[in-house]
Amino acid sequence: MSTLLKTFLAFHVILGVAGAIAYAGVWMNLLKQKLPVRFLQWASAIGFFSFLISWVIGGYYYAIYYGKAVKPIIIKGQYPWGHSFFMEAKEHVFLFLPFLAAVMFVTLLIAGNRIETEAPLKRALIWLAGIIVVLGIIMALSGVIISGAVR
Amino acid sequence: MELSNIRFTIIRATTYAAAFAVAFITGITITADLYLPLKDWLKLTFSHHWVGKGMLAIVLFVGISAILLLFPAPKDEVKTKALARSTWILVIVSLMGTISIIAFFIYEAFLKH
Repeated sequence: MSTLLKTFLAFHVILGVAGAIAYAGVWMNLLKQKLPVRFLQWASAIGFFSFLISWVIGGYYYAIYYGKAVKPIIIKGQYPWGHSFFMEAKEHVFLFLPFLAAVMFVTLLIAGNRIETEAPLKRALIWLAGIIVVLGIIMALSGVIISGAVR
Repeated sequence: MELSNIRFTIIRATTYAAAFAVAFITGITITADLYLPLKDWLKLTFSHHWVGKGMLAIVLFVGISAILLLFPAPKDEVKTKALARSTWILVIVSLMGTISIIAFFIYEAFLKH
């Protein structure tokens, strides 16, 4: 694997985890009665752009290298479900994240000051943030399992 | 503090468009695995089926957002309720999409053969 692809893979992981952490911050702070709006806006922006860049560079690695060099090793190895279940589910569920993060970012950016006093909207956004974080954690753990299945 | 019509329509449009994009990704993922000519078309057109799904989802998201921006905003009193409803729809579609994809690949990987 070239240095560029190694770098892309490393940053795909780092930015994916950074995005999940940023949205964990959004989730926890949305639960507060007095909302730190500026923090929520910045954290959702960081999370959104982290997921976006992670998607592009992880996608490049996946489309260029994974299918030719990594997938055959996993399929022929002891843990073929590392690809057939974990990678297949991960690569497709991951596609949800940038869209969910975009909605959270846009909502907090545009209506951040309204959320504190609007309980129904706040409750829905708490759920949305929770889904983003849980999906982010599932993505990270799936990545660990896929990496383990190569060996 | 009031939520202006333009701000409201931007949030509503992106939220519904994201719900459409998530539903589309779920649908095309399962359909392309069951109907291989679709997967082959995605590969042929976008170099990789996964790239194709992502690109089409972006096009759908931008297109539906643009169309929904044209719909007028409701009265001020119901604006945030309308945004809560669109966010709940996105939450439910995302949960259903995630469960569907995971269940489908459990079937494909462990139960099919």
